[in-house]
Amino acid sequence: MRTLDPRAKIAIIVMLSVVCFLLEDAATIVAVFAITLGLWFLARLTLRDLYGYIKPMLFLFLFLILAQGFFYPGVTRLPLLAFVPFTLEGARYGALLCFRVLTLACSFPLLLATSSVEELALALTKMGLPYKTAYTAMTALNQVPVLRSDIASIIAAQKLRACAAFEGRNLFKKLKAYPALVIPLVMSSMRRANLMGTAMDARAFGCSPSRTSIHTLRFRLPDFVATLVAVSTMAVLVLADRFPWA
Amino acid sequence: MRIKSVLEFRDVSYRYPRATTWALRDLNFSVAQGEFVAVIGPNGAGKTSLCKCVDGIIPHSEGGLFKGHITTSGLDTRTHTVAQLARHSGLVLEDPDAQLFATTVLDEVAFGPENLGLDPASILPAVHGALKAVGLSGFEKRSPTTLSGGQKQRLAVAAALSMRPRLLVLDEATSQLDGEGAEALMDLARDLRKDQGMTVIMATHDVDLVRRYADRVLRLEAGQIIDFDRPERVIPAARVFRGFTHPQTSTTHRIDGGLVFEKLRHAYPGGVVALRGVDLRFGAGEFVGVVGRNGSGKTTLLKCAVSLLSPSSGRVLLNGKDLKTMKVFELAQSVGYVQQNPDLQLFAETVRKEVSFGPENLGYSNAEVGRKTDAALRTAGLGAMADEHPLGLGRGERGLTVLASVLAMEPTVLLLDEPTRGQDADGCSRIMEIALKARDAGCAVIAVGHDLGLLAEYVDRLVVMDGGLVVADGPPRTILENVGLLRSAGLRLPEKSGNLVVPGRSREGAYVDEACEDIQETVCAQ
Repeated sequence: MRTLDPRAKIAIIVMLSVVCFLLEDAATIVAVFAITLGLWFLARLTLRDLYGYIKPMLFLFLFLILAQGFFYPGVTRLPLLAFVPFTLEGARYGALLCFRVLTLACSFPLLLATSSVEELALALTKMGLPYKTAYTAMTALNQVPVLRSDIASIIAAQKLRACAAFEGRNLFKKLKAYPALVIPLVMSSMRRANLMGTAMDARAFGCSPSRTSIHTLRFRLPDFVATLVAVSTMAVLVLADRFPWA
Repeated sequence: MRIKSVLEFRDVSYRYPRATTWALRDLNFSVAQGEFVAVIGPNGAGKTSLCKCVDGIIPHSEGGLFKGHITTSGLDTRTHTVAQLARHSGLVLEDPDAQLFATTVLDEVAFGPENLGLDPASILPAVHGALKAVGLSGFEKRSPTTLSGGQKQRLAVAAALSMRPRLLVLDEATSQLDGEGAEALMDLARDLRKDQGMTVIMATHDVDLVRRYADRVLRLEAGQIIDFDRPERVIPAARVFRGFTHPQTSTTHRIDGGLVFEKLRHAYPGGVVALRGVDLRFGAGEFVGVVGRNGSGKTTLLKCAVSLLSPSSGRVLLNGKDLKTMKVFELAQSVGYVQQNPDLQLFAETVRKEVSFGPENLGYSNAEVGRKTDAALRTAGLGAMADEHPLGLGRGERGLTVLASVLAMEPTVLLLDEPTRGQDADGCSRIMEIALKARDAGCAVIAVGHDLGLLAEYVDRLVVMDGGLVVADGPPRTILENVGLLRSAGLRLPEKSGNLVVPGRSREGAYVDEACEDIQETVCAQ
C-alpha cells in the first residue's frame, strides 16, 4: 500500500467511498469494512491508530443506533424500554449507517498516512487540478493533527484553571464548555493560517507557472493491477448487493 | 559587482487595515550589501511590519495603506510580487511551527526552489547545502513536526537559504532558541555574509546578540526610527545583565513540603527520554529559575508537576501528597501553570472574564471572585484593558492576561514556562517583578527560560538541566561562576553593561572578573 502511486491509492479510496453509499445490504457493507481493515494492516497502520480515529465517533454510533431503533419503521420490537418502541430493523439500519461511516473514516487515513503532501499534490495536479489548489487542500488536511494537539492544549489550559467540564461525564457541562474551546481554537487556527500564508508567499508559492518537483510519479504495473483489482472487487460487491442469488 | 545599497526605504509609512494608528512612519534608511542590521524596539514598535515590507508582504498580502518606496535588490516592492521578490530576499518568521508545512525536512527545504521552477537536478544540491549550513544534514527524511524547537527554527532558515537569497530577513528568529542555538544561527549569518556577501536584517529583543554580531542597529519606537547607528551607540543599558540587583532569599530552611520531584523519569511515546531521574525540591517563598538548552527537559518537568504528563517512574509530591492521587482540577487549586503559547489559554470575551474564570471555577463567592480578579488585574497592570477582548491585545498583554488569570487563583506554586518569550525589556522586567511579588507572598515560583542573565538577576536559585538531568543547582552567583558547565549546557553567558569583549581577554574571563568583584563587594559590605 505504501509503495503504490498516490493516484492508485486515490482510485482505491474513491471506490471504497462510492461503494459505501451504493450498498444497501448490511453483510456486504461489513465485507467492504473488512476489506478496508485489511488495507489498513497492509499499510502498516496500527490498531492504536484505528482506535484514535474511531474513538471520537463512538458517541455518534450510539446515537445512530438509538435514533434509528426508535424512529425507523420496523415491526420486530425489542424489549429495550417498556413503553417506547425500539425495533430490530431500526437497530440494524443504524448499525449499517455506522459501518458506512466507519468505512469512510478508515479509508481516508489510508491515503493521508501513506503519502506525503507533496506526492498527493503532485498526483492531483497530474489528474488536472491546479497545483495551488491541490497543495493548499493537502496542506489543510495535514494540519488536522495540529488542530488535535491545539484542542488538547486548550482543554489542558482550562483544566489548569479548575474547569472540570471536560473531566466528568456530564454532557450538559461539556456542551456549555465548548464555546470556550472553539473560540481560541478558531482564533489560533486563523492566526496560524495567516502566518503560514505569509511563509508560503515568502517562499515564492505560486510564483512560477512551470513549478518543478523533486518527486517523480510513475504509474507502474502494480499500480495498474491494484486499481483494476479495486474496481473489479467493488463492482462484484455492488452486483452481489443488488442482485442476490439467494 | 558590488551593489551600493541592497535595501532602501524612502518615506515609507504603513497602516494596517482597520487600524487607526500608523505601524510605520516616515522611514528613510538604506542597507549596504553584506551588512548585518539589527532592528530593535519595544513590542508594537513596528519591527515585524518592517520585515514584512522588505519582502513585499506589506502591502501585497496584508493590504492596508502604504506610502513611499522600498527597493529590495533593485526591485520596487510595490511593482513586484512577493513571489518575485522572494528570489532575492528570504524571510524567517518567529514561529517555526507556522512556517513549516511539508511532510519531510527535504520537501520543506525544496519547496522554495520548486516554486521558482528550478531544474530538479539543481534543487537537491542546493537543499543539501542549506541543510549542511544549518547543521541538519542527515535529517532529510524526518518529519518537521518531530524536530525540537531549535531544529525547527534552523530548518526554517535552511528553507530560506535554499532559494539563495541576497538578503536574509530574520524576524525574531532566535526567540525560541537556546543560547547555543542562537549563537550558532548568528555564526551562520556571519559566515554567509563573509562567504557569499549576504545581507542580514534581524528584528530581535536580544541585545546581547545584537552587540556582538550587528554592524548597525536600527531602533524603532511607535513606528519611527529613533536611532540608526553602531550597536554601542544605540543599545540602551536597560536589558543587559545588571548584576544580582534584587534581594534574594535564603531557601535552605523553607524546603519542607512544597513541590518535590523524586527520581522523576519521563519517556515520550516513541522512546525519547526527556527526564532521566530528576530529584528537585521547591519550597514556599522561593523563586527558582530552570535553564537549559532546547530539549533538556524543562517543559516536561513543569508538565509533570501539573499531571499533564505522567512520570514513567519516580513521583511528584505536592505538600507530601503524590500527584497521582490528585486530578488536574484538584491540582489547579494549588498549582498555577502559565504555558508557552498564550493564545491557547485565552477563552473569554473580556480580560476581566478571563481573569475571573479560574476563581469562579473554584467556587468562590461573587464578592471574592471580584476581589481576586481586581487584585490580579492590578498586579499585571491590566486594569485599563479589563473590558477588551484578550485576543485583540498585543502579544505582551496577552501573556500578562494569562499570568493574571493564574494569579487570580492565588496558587501556592506558580510555574512559568518561558514567560518572557517575545516580550520587550519592559515586559520582561514587569513579569519578573510580578514573580517576585508572588514569591514575597509565600508562593513557590519556578520559571523556565533561556535568558540566563534575566533569570540570574531575579531568582533565588538557578537549576541547570541538560539531557534530562539536573547538572547544577544553587544560588545564581555560584552557578554563573561555573562558566564551563554553563557552556556545556548550551547556555549563553550574560554580558554586563559596558562589559563587551575586552581585547586579549575572553568574554568568559571578563564575566568571571565581574562576578568576583560582586562577591568581594558583598564580603566587604558584611
